[in-house]
Amino acid sequence: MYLIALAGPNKQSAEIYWAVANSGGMILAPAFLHFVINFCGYKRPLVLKTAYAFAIVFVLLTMIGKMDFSLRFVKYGFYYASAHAPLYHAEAMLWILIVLYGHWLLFSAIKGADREKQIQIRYLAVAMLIGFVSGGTSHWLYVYRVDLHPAWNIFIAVYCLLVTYSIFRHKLLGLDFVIRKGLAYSLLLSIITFFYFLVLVILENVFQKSVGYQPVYSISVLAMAILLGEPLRVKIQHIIDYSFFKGDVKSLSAERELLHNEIVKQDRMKAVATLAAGMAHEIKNPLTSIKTFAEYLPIKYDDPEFRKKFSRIVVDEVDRVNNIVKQLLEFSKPSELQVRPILASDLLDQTLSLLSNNLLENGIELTKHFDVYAMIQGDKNQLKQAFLNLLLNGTQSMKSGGNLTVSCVTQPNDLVRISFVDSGCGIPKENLPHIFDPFYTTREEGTGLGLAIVHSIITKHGGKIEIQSEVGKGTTVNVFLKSRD
Amino acid sequence: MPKSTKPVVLICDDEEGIRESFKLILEDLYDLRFANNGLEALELLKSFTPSLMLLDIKMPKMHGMEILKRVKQLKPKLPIIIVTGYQSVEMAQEALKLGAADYIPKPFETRQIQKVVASLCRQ
Repeated sequence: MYLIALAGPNKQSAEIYWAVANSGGMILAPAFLHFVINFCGYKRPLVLKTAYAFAIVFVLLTMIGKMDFSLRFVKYGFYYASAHAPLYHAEAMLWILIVLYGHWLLFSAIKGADREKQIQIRYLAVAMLIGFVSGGTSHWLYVYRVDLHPAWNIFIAVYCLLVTYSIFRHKLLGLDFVIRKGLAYSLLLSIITFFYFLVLVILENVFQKSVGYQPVYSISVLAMAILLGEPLRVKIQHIIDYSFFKGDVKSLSAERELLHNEIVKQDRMKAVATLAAGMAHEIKNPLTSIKTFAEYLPIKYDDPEFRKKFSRIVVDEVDRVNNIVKQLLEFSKPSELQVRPILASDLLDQTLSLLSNNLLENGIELTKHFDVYAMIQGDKNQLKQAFLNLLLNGTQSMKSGGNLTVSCVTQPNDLVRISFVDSGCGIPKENLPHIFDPFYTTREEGTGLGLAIVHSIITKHGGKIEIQSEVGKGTTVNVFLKSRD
Repeated sequence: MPKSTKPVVLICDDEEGIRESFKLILEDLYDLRFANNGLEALELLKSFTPSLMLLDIKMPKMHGMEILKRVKQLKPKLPIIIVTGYQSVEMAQEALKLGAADYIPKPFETRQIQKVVASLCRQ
């Protein structure tokens, strides 16, 4: 629309298109804010209503001709708008304010979001920045007599394509790759836009010379150009899809689904292999002791020392095997969830009370930051077990004392974040990808099933768990659970 | 360290049950010394050279393969038998490449342990 407005064959038609383009641009700002608020899970009804109200007022003022675009014909041969009416400055300020506020909300949401959401927000933030910087500058800078070439508008397309591309193909991959691919895609599509633009200018001139200019002709020309150019657009889009992305949107979506299923399958196979290897080791050691002691029983039966060791070691080893099997069953098939609304702070207090002696003995200072209204939906006993495992891990990493901070907070996205932050020895970077693997342990005691069970419980609750750690500095565990209003 | 006519065997395993099992199998014929982990074993090896070392793989503080490497640097001629619950061809190959004399999976046969230890101590 901006291109048409700029290329209007006369001042009268350019003014009409500027009015339409300006109205669209004005509504775009609160619509963007609306999207950000919904996407990030904020609740800002008053801000949103105010933004829409102001935008509608400016649209109405535009429609009744109070904005005074004061078009001027400039060096590239296009009609640019200049701000004569003070209302135009107010409109520019409001638009910039809403867009900046939207971006601020978007960037603020990164901190509290889980990892997957963080990646999505980053994609969006970069795409939105490109879109709004190019769109904003190409609309408002003319007003202040900074004349950009109309081709600058092409960058708006980068925004749309970047978002589309990241959703359908590389939702979770590196940002630089997405930008590179997005730019290639938009560059090629801009050829089509240029074609439309050329057809429009030529046909308008033809109409003007033959039948005189009427706005209705321009609209008809635009419709004709789109209709005639549609097969070409589809063809070029297919070529681009197949050359760059090896498929159209539908097949990309199917491919992504297939890839996801394959990854899940491979992960499951890997987990089974780890499980089998871990189990073999954990069970073979006690079996070795039991076997050797059983073999020596007839020979050494009269030795009281042997009998004493036999009754202690064999019983301990049998208990150990039994414990491994019990934990394994709990991991592979946790008991049915008894879901009820729970006050997160109560649950954390109850779990921490079980550890009070442990904290005291290890010289660990406990700090609590509880949102007393944070309600979660879950199985009290299973969540208590998960939190206890996490807290035990934390205390065991602080053998010579330290600080443990436990907090819970309701996030705007209907999730409750429960954090366990310790100042313990931390986990080496290379171990982090394996910490939820069953039987994976670097500690002297324990079977390596603790965190695997925690992961299983949290996942079964529809929640998420994330761990960040630095050797020598400590570990932060964030558990995200659905909140209950 | 009291002098003994029996060959000295160093056993490096973090599990009491396994250490006690080796005691039952070998203590009549060998002078056994124990280490709970790799660091303890390396420390002990500074003060004496055993005839043989029995080494577990999965232990806290230091992985068995790393201990094998370090012991081989410290005492290149010391025969080392890997005794582990991890049964993998790759690991056995790696251990032999690093200089292990043998690789015995758990749960082991009493006679197998006695035979291998006797044979290596004779050498």
